[in-house]
Amino acid sequence: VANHQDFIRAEIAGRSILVQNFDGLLRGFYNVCSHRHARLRATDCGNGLLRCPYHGWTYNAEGVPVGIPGNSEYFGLDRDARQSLALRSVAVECCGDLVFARLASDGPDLATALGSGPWASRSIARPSPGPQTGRSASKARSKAIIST
Amino acid sequence: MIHPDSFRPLTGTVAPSEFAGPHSYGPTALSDAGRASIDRMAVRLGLARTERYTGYDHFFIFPNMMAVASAGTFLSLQIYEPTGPETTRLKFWMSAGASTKPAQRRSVTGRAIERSLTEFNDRVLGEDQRISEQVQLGKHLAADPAHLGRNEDRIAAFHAAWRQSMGIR
Repeated sequence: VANHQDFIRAEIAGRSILVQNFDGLLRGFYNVCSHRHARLRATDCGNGLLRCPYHGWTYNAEGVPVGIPGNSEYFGLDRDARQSLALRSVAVECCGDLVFARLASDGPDLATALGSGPWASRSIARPSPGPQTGRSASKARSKAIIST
Repeated sequence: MIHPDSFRPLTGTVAPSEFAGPHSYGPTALSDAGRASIDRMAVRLGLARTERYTGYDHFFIFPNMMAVASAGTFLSLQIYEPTGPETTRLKFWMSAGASTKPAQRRSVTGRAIERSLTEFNDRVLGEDQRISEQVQLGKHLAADPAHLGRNEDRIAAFHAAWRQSMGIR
């Protein structure tokens, strides 16, 4: 998820989530559209606008639907109404090249959760050096580590 | 968006829905391309047509049946059978009216037209199936009811009728 609009999909405790890069900022959300409940991401990784494949609702970095086809004609959603339909967010933090996500809206941050042991070292989260190049290296960097 | 290159180019303006109890009717005009495509098939195969329905006329008969007339030429029937909490079986039939050119309808050309129609329907239904499966998976993650627009009033009516029939307020 190094580039703008890169995304990954993962499961935490049986719940599908997505993590997406918005201009360098990683955001996590439950993987479900507020409109008709289609899953927003059907593949494990990729790149593209956070847009529902069903009716095209498009979400910004805050999870707010900012693009709703036929909004004025069929929905009449103003700014506040669209805000109320924002995606449920998931806490996301990085350690080195690993991405951690937490479903609960509150709780210890990643540094606290990792403690002072070897897991706290950012270097442990880097891909191992060696022959990994190009696509395989990129794939390794997209691996999500998840927690509840 | 669903059906961007298959069904959507064939349709035009959506007219207001009509309701009869829990049942509903959704009339949608065909696009010029959609109408021309069906016209060509109807003429070549000599198919009987009705003038009563000229667009994509979609009837929903509560709780699980749909009948669709396309340009008054083809009629499709769909029955949705729940087979479990997470699964549904779709039964689908499509038919055309009597032909004034039965030999043409049985010819290689006739069979090719029939095959292309079948392939087109399979494609559209496949797109429906894939997105429906994504909704079925997604609904377990939803914290709030679906947010339906005024163009989705038939779905809202179905939900209301279903809740009423199940004794859910």
